[in-house]
Amino acid sequence: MSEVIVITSGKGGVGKTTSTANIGVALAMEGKKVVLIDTDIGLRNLDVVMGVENRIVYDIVNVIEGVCRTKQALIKDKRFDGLFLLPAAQTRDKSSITPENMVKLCEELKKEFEYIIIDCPAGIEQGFANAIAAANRAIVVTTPEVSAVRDADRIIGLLEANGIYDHKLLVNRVRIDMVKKGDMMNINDIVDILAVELIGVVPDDENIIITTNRGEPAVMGKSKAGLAYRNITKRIIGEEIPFMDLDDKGGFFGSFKRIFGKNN
Amino acid sequence: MQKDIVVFKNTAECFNLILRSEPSFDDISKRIEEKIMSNRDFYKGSSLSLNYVGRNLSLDEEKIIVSIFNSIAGANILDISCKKSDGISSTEDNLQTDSLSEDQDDLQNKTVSQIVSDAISYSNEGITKFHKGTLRSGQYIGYRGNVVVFGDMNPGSEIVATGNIIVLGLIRGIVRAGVEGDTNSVIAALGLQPTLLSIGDVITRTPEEDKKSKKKDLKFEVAHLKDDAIYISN
Repeated sequence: MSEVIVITSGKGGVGKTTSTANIGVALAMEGKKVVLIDTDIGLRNLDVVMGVENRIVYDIVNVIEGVCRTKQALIKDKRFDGLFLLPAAQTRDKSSITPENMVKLCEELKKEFEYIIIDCPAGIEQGFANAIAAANRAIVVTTPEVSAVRDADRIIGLLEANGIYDHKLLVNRVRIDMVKKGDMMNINDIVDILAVELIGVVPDDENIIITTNRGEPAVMGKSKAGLAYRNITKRIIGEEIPFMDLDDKGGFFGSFKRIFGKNN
Repeated sequence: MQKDIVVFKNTAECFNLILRSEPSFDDISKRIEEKIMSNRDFYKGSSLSLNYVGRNLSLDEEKIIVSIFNSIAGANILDISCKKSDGISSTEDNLQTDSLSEDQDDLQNKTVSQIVSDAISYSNEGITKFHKGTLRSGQYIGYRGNVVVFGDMNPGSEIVATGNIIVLGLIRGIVRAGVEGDTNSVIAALGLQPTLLSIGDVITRTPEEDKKSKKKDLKFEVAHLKDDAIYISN
């Protein structure tokens, strides 16, 4: 049974596209058949981060409008078998496709691919509605900043209101040195506020900048961020990889929230 | 005598409109609209039995009031009737009755049910809505009764209730209790750090120092109204 996972956040710039690229490549490295879909129409970035911007002929709007067949728009990654990308359109905007279009497209793609990873744009409007329409799982990305956490909270509320209850948290750009000094939010506090399960923590890593510019996702190399993404991907597949230090479960009220949170 | 030409009073039995008899019907219906607009989300989707007292309304005027509630408030009005006060029927000329004896039976019945309804409303704490889980940013609960939340209220969330608000967690959003005038309403939580808190007409917010308190130091706190000021005990 194929999985459709949307990578969303609410806040912009927290690492959705980076996460989509890295998780996608890591899944392909595990031998899975994966397609990445960029739904940020008008501001497409996934193709750049994946290093395939020069190979785009058709895009998702072309497919929806019937100008070309889906297969013609899919770009096969030269480095990995089974990894494909469906790019967004750059000269259109988010009103060019509807949630129903996305559901139909994903139904078609589910026949070919084990994992469909959808890169969601920032915001809570049409772009968000399009991206979550076909998803059965979500990964909510946030950074350890009050503003990002606030937006993640809103997004989780919207996901639940739209019937997506399988959501996990990814905390990106964590600087352990600052957390230890008390200058940066603690992972436990973030998980406590958001009352969701954590799927992984990615440390702030210069390599992300370097690899993004090169179009070679970090999981392909030896960086810390790359390792974190590989672990996250294994957890997505279902393997149990231990976290570094998440013992504090928040006491009595933490349990309360977890019990009732899951009953929604 | 009440100051407002229209007063809403909600009991377990029905939704009462206490109307003054001197103003024109236009003024009355405008005031009803104003009151609904200021708390619009409250009535949406609720099924109400309307009951009015204080003046006579013709069938057309009754229809106008029902349509105001149905269209502007988004409520579903089941019926509208005039409450006969204390069995004195001398002013109820506009109401249809078939015979004198039925009228008297009606009075008797209404008197009994009125007694029962009054008894219930004095001891009635109101109905309660339970919300399981954390209330997230952007989520809103509007309820004509009390609200209990099993979880936190994150900043950006809002609860508006005619009764009490109890949160088994931290309040960091907007809480408004006793919005239809019940000044005995309280707001209680493990940690009151609301961005805005109001009971009845009195509004307040968290003082600056309190925002930084750690979660483990928090105690169960209750906010209540006394002499037009909000007091917090723990």
